[in-house]
Amino acid sequence: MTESKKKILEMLAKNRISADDAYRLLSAVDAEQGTGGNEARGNERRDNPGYENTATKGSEVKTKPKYLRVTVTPDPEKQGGDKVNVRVPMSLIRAGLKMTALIPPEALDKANSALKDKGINFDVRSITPEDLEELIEALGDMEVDVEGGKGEKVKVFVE
Amino acid sequence: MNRPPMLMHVKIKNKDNDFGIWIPIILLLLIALAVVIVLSPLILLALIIMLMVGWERWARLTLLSIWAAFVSVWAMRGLEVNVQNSHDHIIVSVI
Repeated sequence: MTESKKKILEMLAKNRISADDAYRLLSAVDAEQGTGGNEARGNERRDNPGYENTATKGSEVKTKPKYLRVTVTPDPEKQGGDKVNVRVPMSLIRAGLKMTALIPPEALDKANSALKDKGINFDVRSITPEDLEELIEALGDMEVDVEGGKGEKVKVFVE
Repeated sequence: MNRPPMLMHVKIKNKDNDFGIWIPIILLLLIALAVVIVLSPLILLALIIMLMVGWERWARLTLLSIWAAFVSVWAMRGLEVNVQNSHDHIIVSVI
């Protein structure tokens, strides 16, 4: 076990971080080690003339996000709050986005006019499957952290 | 390609009830697939009639709906919903 993993587990044991935070930190450490491994393999290949053409750019390897997570943690000082933990596979989001083809044109027109009313001049029909794929890729860098008025913490992130 | 979901676990726990059920999605998916294959001549006939009558849009929607239903169920593997408050605890997970 690495030093960083030990530290994370110690922080969890001392209740300084939540189990979700610990899981995320451990995943990040694992991902970092994985990327390091790729770099090492890349260097190994570069050193070997036989692998000259197949050398990979280890540092550019980016793991694809697999799940969208939404967690709601109630204020620990207050009782009765809702605790929510939702994990949605990216493949399901992809499938859902592709189903926009099922939306009738009338509904798309209504959505367009509603957007126009809000001052957004955008045609929903112009969204292509490539745009959606880019959008999903970009979700990998997204993290939303909100603290509500009642002390609840809402986190939206991908892993 | 993703692997299809095998089971869905639904658990509802509160003061009065402690209910849990395992649903074999893979079996339901296979049965649905078999039904679609058996009914495919009828579906094809219906689509041809729709195209002849001029209902291209409905024909397209029918095909897309069948495809969408399969794709969405197929992509559910890994879905997890866990909601808990002071009274109830609901867990839905697809594995």
